[in-house]
Amino acid sequence: MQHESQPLMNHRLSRRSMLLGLGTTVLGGLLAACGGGESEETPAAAAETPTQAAAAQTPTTAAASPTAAASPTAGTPSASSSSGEPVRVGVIGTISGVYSTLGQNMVDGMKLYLSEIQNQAGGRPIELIVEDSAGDPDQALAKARQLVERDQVHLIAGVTLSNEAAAVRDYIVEAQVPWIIGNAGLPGLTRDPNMRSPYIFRVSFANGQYEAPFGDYAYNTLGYKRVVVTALDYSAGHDKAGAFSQRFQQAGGEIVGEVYAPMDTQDYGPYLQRIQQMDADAVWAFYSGGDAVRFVLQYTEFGLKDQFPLIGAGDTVDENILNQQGDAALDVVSTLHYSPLYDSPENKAFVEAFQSTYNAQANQFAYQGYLAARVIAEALNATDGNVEDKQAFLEALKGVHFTGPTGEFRFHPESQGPVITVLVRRVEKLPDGSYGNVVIDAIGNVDDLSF
Amino acid sequence: MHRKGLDVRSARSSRLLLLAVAVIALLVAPAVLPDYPLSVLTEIVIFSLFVMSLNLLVGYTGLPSLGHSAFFGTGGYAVALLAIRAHLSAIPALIVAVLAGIALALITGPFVLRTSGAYFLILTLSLTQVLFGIVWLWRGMTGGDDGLPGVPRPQLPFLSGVVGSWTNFYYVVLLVVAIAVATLWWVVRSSFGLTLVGIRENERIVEGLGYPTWWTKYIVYILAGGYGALAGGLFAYFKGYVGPGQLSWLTAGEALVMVILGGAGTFWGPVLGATVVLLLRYEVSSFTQRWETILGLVFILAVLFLPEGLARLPDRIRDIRAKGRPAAAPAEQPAAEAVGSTAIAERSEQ
Repeated sequence: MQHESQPLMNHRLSRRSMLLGLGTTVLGGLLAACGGGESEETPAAAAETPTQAAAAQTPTTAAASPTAAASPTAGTPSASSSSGEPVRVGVIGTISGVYSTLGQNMVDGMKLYLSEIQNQAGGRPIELIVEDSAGDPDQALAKARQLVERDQVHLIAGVTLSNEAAAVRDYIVEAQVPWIIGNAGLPGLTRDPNMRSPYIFRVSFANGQYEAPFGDYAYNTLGYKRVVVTALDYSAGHDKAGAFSQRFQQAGGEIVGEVYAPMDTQDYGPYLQRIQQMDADAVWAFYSGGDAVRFVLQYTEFGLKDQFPLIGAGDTVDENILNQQGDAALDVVSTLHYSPLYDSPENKAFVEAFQSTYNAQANQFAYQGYLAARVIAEALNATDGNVEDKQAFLEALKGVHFTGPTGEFRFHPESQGPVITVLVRRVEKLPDGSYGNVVIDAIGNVDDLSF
Repeated sequence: MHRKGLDVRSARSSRLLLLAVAVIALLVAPAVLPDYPLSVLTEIVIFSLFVMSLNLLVGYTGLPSLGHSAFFGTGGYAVALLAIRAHLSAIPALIVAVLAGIALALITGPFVLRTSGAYFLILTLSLTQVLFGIVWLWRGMTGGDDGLPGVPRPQLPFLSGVVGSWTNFYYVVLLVVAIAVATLWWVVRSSFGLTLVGIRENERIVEGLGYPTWWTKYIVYILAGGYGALAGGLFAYFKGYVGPGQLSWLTAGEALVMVILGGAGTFWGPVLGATVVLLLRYEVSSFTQRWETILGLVFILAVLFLPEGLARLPDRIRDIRAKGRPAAAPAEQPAAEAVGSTAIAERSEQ
């Protein structure tokens, strides 16, 4: 029966050679994987000097990757006592793809703080192992696994996107690795009692945390009664718009329309047209990255800005993209937990250090990275570097408080999310010709259970 | 002729031996591999089943599907929803996942199978995009782009406590995939499987011989859907999470790359493709973000020099060596002849 059909089969498979090849590949690859795991014990940790940190803003994060650390010059593994052994911090960030600036800025912020403290805290060197999740939840999970099981990290910091955070959450909690979230705003991670965990801390924000107070502010202070909300059509967009709308309505305002546009929309014309037909006092918008550039530019070109003032979440006019938006972004009022123009000595020092190290303006992501590194260092100091005693270390993390760039930083004791100062900012042209988010008001002590 | 028979027999037994070695290696892998490489191996095993199911369509039947992730994702969401919302245990959940994949194939089959070639590719692509859109927008049920976290990993009860939870789960995966691959083997070796190859080579002739080719394609599409959904269910358990990425056409595209890279239409080739791609992803990506560039180069090289896939690499080497060796050299002849006849024997094995 089989042999009758031979003429049809011109795909000649030799199963023997196939299996041989397969076996070699699998075993070879996996052995390489083990080998990689062993070699990265080399003590290249301390090498995070500012120059190297600067070099690391090039696309490859070689300075922090285990492979680079295992280069022959790094010496032999030292079987040192726990006190001298580096504290390994695994960093997961979206360093390639559409959201690469978010992850890269966060990593830069972390490195900046670590270089300020000479990569030492609690008497131990701190080693960063940076892995790229590429905006892909599957890859984020694989990287988390790799960091925990192969690199044996003591802590995980970072995670850029909400869906990446959702994907890695169970794994990290199960592995009992303290996790300091550096950006992902998935609300449940700190707000949902079933999802939060003693191992999860967040220095950034929960989606809605800085949008909700803006609801009150827009009604009471800015005096808008009728607002259209528009956002990117994905979970964070709905969460943020929802938080703003809810508080705006509670304050007495009316949401006259909701317009959601898919990510990577090139032509906002149809959406702007819908907005134009509505009768409103202002438009609240949440867009990010390239979408934010296109939305704000097209909103102004469309002539809508003369019709409805544009307000929104800080991401819509983030420092990353503000100069691309230029005049189109002028006078946009937004809320965020950060602005590089916030007036405090700590913030000035941070912005200047960031500028001189990376030749770029600090933004919310860099700020969050800076906070994440600082939180880790403070907790290490409080425990004399004994990160191995997990319960004590978690307690120390919980108790961390310090004066950061935007004032006092602390975690909410129940949610373990940050208590932030919401800054109300307006885009203005600065004396040097660039554009900036000038702080016009501040709403203090906003935690992530308050909305 | 007598000699050839011997060769066939010895080739077959040595192949069985190698299969046995591979099986034993997979069985003892947890003993020698730490958790991380073991998790990579688990993923390779799961993806192997997924790409083998795609290979049924692409390799055996000649239907180029760019939407196989529809089944992979359907299985994943079925398992995740049942495990999280209904607290269903793994065996019934996986069975429902397979049924969901089969149901999806039953419904969509008549539409996509009206076409072939590039049109088939586009229709399957649209199918997976439609599902992607539904999942993305139906946030109440699917969690939208945040996906569904919290899928508990199944364990073999008699192993729990004896081995770690990852090892235990690895054996769950191995068991399920082994059963599935054994049935797949039986399918492609049956007369049904040979009809598929006939359709790929020349559908009109097969039809002219009286075979119901449309129904054959429909059935293989349903089978591929079922196997794909099973792999998707396992993948959801593996990650403890399911998101729309599992349904994305990018996942389908990656699977297609694995199939073609490994060798479409060969039984084990796709496994090789999945292994290479996943190892590249996890190993190369830890020292450079440009791993996709490297994958691209590997793919281009493979298409140029091994158009029938990596599975053909040993045969190619043998061909080149046989060519390089002048047939006139008498001393070498017996060896060359032996090699050649083995090759013939292996071909006829197909």
